[in-house]
Amino acid sequence: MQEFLYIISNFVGVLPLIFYLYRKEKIINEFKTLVPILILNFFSSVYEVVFTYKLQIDSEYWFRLYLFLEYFSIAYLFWKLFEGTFYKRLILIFSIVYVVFYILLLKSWELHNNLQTDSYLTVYTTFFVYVLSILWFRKIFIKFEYDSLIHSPVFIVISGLLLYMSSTLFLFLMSDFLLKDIRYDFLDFWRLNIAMCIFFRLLLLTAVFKGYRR
Amino acid sequence: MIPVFWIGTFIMLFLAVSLILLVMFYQRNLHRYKLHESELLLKASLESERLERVRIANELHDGLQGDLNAIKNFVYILTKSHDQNDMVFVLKETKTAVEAAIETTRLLSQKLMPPLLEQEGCGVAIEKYFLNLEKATGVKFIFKSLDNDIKIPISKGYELYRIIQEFTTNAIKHGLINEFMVVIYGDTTQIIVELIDDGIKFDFFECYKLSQGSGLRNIQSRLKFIKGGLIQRSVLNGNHFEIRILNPLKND
Repeated sequence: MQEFLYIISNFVGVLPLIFYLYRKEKIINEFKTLVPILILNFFSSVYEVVFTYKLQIDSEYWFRLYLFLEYFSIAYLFWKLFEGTFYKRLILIFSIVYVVFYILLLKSWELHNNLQTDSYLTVYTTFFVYVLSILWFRKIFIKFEYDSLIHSPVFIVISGLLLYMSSTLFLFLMSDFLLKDIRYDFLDFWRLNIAMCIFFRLLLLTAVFKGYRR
Repeated sequence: MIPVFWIGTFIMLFLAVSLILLVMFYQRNLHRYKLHESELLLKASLESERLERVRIANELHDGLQGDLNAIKNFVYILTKSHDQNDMVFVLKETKTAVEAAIETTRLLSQKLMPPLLEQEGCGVAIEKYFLNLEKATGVKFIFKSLDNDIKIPISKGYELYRIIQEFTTNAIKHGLINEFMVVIYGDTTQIIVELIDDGIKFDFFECYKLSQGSGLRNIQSRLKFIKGGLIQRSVLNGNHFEIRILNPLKND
């Protein structure tokens, strides 16, 4: 079961970028803001299959780097979505704080004992996604840019981010405890992350299809 | 600890789902409302155009056609008449009818698109309109332009002229005014038009909601076209409106 979910998750992870590149010229301009997220998901899936699964390289280095890349691919999305100086400054302040926080946490980083510090970064990214998403929702109501949100690739991806980050927040927060406590099998809980990851990547794929010009 | 994990996850997921659904629901309703409003504005605009066509058709039928018929009859009499005195009299009458026809044509063209608007700009056209209105109604109309350098593009100037016309018509008809003042000022970034009268107080936005007629909707429709905003200031007597047009020089 675990392996099956793992394969599905990585398979779905590479598809959005492939479909995007396949018909790149037919994708609406707005979609370009999502490209870093697609690239990150593509490389994350490839890395996990090749380096973690096949070559058995410890995933903890990658996981810490992934958190950094994940934050900045999301920051790029919001940076492109907002126009005003206020929003740009807000994203900049959030990002500077994140970088400082990230460097500070790197100092206390230890191989096989970093789930707790990783979770701090996840909480920060979740908070960032919530704040910027709410501001973006407010902006679309004021500017009235969309006839139907369900057809907007950006809305689909932002919703996916909100759902993924919200559903896995407690998992990341408690992962250190769950892993160390012998009463629990950590993989049972980790399935939630894989399932939500598949769901998010399916939403990414949907966003690519919605991004095609009709 | 496990219940905490599941409850926490469930609460966070519930929060995210609720937020997404709320946004989708609100956006859908907002979209419907905006569509409905656009339909109403379009209807008002079409209705106003229809009324204008009816008015022009009536003017053509009752005024110009009457004058031309008279001229035709005078020409017929002239071809039949041999008496010198009669001919002089008929020629005088023909001249009067031709002059009346010219005047009717001039007035019609003035109503369709005031020539001054294109030649001299919005301010001069409003000034001339106020002079005519003052003569016709006895109400005192004041026009002040604090920045003479402002050149509003013709398309926006035309809409602004029609908006002021709609306000003055309403003020004379329903407001029982003695004085009406328009002040225009601003710069290249924005133009502010203030409309002040001493008539019966009314709440524009409340009347707009309740109104079945096309007048107020017509104002809103024209304001939307020129991307202008309307504010009603609170005053003790009469009414005070402020129209704000951002980027007036930008021709959309």
